[in-house]
Amino acid sequence: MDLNAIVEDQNPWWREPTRRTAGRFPVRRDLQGVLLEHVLDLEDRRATVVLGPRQVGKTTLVLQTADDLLDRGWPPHNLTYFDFSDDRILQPVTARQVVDAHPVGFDGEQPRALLLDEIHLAPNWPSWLKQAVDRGGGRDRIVVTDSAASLLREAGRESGQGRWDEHRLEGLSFREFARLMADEEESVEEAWRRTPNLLERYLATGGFPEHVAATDPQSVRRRLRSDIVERAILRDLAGHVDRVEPVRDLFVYLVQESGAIFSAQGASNVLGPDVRSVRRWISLLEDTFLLVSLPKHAQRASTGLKNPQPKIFAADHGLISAFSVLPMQEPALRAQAFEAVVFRHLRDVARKLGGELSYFRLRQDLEIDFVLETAEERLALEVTAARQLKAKKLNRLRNAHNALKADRSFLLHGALIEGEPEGLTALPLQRFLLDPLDSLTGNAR
Amino acid sequence: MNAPHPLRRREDLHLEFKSAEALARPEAIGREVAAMLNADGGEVWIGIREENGTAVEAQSIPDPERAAESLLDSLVDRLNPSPSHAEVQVKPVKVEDKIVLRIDVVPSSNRQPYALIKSGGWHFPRRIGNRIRAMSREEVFNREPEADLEDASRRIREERERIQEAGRDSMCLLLEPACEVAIDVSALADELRNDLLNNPARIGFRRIDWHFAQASEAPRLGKERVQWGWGFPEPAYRAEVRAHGAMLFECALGALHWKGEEREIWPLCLLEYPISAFRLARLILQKPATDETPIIADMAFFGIRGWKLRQGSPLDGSLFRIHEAVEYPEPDQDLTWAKPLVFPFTEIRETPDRCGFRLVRRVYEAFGLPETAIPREYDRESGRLVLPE
Repeated sequence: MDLNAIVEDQNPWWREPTRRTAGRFPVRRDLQGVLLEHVLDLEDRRATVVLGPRQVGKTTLVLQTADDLLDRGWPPHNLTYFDFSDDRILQPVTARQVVDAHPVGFDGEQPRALLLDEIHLAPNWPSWLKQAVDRGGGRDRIVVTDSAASLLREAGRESGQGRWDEHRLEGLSFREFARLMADEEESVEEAWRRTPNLLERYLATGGFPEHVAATDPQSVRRRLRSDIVERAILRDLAGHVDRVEPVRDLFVYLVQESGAIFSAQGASNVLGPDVRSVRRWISLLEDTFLLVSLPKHAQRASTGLKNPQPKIFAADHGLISAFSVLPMQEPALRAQAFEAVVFRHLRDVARKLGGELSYFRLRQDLEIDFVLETAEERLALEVTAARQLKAKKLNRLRNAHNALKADRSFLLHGALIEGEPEGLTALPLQRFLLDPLDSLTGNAR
Repeated sequence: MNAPHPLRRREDLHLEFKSAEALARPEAIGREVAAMLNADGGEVWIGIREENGTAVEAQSIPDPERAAESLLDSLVDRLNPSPSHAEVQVKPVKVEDKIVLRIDVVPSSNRQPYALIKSGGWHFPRRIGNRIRAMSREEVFNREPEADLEDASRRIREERERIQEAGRDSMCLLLEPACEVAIDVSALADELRNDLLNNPARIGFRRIDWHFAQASEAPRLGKERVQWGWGFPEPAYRAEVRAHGAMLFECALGALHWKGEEREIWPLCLLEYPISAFRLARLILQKPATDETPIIADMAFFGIRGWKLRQGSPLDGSLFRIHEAVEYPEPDQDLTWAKPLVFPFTEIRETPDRCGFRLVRRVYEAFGLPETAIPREYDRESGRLVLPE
């Protein structure tokens, strides 16, 4: 199949202007509005790069953007979508070739939207993007997606500055998940009240949109395992390491240990490879966006540099249940999922507030799961899946709060807790997940 | 005070001997009296030592008048219905040169069966020859005065009407013991808060399942009742257990919908919610109820018109979607049944899922669907709901 045929096939609105492609994904992600706004803002010449792991919904996001643009009257022939990972592509295709494959009816005087999916598969894409932004002067509205951070790094963050904005697309947030599960014209809050086990379903299935609608959580686990291992790790990392199997083993090990302080030596002892290899593979795995690290809180900048000791988390809590040998109701696994899901939502909050996230640990009995440092205040957040709040735990949290010199401390819990522990804000997990930013800043509804 | 001499007589259907020490265990005496009340009556002698069932020695009862009075009080407290003077009398009696106690037992057949209240529960012993055994379910039911069942049915009907009048579109499941059981609702509230509502595994459910063992806030302790729920009176459900053993589970119809067409009942919700109610009832009633305690179970759907139900299991994927969702065929807004089901507690204890299934089967029938349409996750052979891990 030649390139023109593939491009035409991927852009059915060129033939049928009323054609929409994302109709079967009715729910919009929070990021979708940002993308649409960016494309429509002709004063902003910068491109947009959407980064996220495989299967997180990047393609759906850009296709929805295409639909919305067409719905708002964007000229169909001035809208090009292209997926560089299309199986029908036999030879590498450059971005330039795609741009040149415009249809009959294309109006060069009008702005053009270019939505390019999995851009890292296009040779020399960084230089093309730089030139396109520099020369286009904003006439080409460009959105690209990428699921491999290393390539973006190779493209050079410096050269991207001022040329493109980066956005991270993660697995569905709880609010997005609830929106997906809600009936038509039903608000997220109504869906949550109607469905007592909504949070549990979210915890069990994770936030990968393709899988959350499955009826059977077991099949979600199975599919995630095969898709993530087969596609994200075995295929994507195959060209970067001699043998990909040990990297896969390391990934499974880290997911099973999600939330633990990472020790390259410890992983080396358990899995066999030398420490240097482990460190290199960690970097590769982080580039798949499937793992996320959380640095240790440094009260003095120099301390942080000397002793980074990050914690490594599964980027999406669905991975934890998918790769665990234990059932989800196991308390230890539940605690890991709780932490991972809180971290996922805190990353959103930190991005919105321009804050930094870390964990605090002075010694074993003086630690806090998450510290969110913004320009205004330092928030401490402890997560517990325990059924009861024991006085000892509360005291430890108060001591840690004092040692950290936190402005405010929160206890995020999943239990039926009455009253407010002195000096702390007890926040039910589901309330936090429904409105992470507002519940921390005090504007919760 | 002189009476026919009991010594050297043998215990039989109408005669029982207890040593003087038995006064320290009035519960054991109560059991003997209840057993005779449920049989043919007779005499229970206190202060007569027996060997191999034969009375061999009289033992003095200190302060016999007071002991008789105290024993009678204890029997009145422990037996239900409380025995009248005509049914049970306790008398000091002289045997040789000792004063012992004799309990004369004369049952009224229209008040049988008599229950012994023990550890908050009701027990129905019956004397057979010189031994005692628990009455069978049939015996209790045959003897259960219709009035008790009628009363319980009336109470359940009235409760149903109250819910109906509230005008919510909901499914309600009511359980009402036909004889009173005593539930310590304060202790139950603690257990719910500290364990049950945080640990659905106690009733064999997982957190992702559809069940009543979860709550959006801590359970509330009211007057002789404990309540919990999820977001009620907004959807989704509320549950209530009362001190006399009645239980109410009300679930918004909207909460029975998960996927599929608009106003389509998700079959697993319909199956799992009632079964979870029976599993909870088993846990809550296991101490205060006896095997024979009759539990009346009623189910009702308010605002069911326009709702649909599809046959098969959603876990069968596209096979499930092949079948069309069937709309509730009647023009009525509500779906109720004239006769509730009655389960002896032993059935709820041994096969709670089967009890729930029997109610659910009625719903499928009302939609014109056969029993085979109920999801296969209810294993007909074992009578258990088995959800995939």
